[in-house]
Amino acid sequence: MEKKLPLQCPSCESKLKVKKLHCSSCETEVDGIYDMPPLASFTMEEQEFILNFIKASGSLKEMATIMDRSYPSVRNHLDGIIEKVKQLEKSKKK
Amino acid sequence: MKTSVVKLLFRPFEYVSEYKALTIGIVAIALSGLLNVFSGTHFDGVLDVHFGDSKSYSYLFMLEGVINWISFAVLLFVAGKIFSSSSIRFIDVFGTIAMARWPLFIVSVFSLLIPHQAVDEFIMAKALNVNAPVTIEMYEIILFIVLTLVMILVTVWVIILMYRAYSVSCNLKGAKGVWSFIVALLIAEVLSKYFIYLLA
Repeated sequence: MEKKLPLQCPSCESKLKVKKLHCSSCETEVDGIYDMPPLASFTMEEQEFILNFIKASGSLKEMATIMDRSYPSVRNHLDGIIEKVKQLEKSKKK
Repeated sequence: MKTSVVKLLFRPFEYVSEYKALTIGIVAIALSGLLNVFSGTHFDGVLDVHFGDSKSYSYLFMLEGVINWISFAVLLFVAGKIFSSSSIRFIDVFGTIAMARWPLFIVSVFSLLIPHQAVDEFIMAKALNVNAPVTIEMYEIILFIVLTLVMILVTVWVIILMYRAYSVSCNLKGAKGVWSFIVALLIAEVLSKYFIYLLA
């Protein structure tokens, strides 16, 4: 089973931060408070879309073929992600 | 499997758009017009279906579908440009709206297969308060009711499809999407009726 990276606190639903990093090769551990990278804020489906979009050189037509969806529905999906990026930037500025 | 059939019937524009949708729509509109010539069925408005006039010119039956499609698509395109923040394409709106009207072809087929001329004449005579030129049988009334039910169900289906077409092609949902669709539909109904009246 693929483990999902939790993004929200299961108790208060606040955004989670990275507390500890671990090297599985030499057992080094780094302790501190780090923000999650912006891409981690997206769902797995959205991350997959972004990666495919980059691989398709930003072509919505090619994305429509890959996803077996119509052009406008792929564009709407992208617009949803753009809106989410804007919200993230806005919340980061606050 | 069941879900995909339901999706294709009610949310086809997640999968089909652009020239494919446009082709399906234009073929359905043309075939409907052709069948309507023989059955005397008029699509004289974006949401109107009327039976019982085979005296009109053939070209009128063919043009009605085109006028209904274009008048509504133009208004939805304008509404999309005003209300949507997405980049809307002409081909998406016109293609999906054309395809959304394909179920009306079913009405055209039923109207051709079900004999309804006697009931049409009877209703017209009653409406004009003159003696009915024909008597109608019970089976003719039942068939006319079936035809009317098909017409109502298909009209509801077409409205759902046209809203989905607008929603996907213009990326509009919620209250903004619903209200702009209703206003455009009402204006298109008036405009299409006017244009058809000019041609008749």
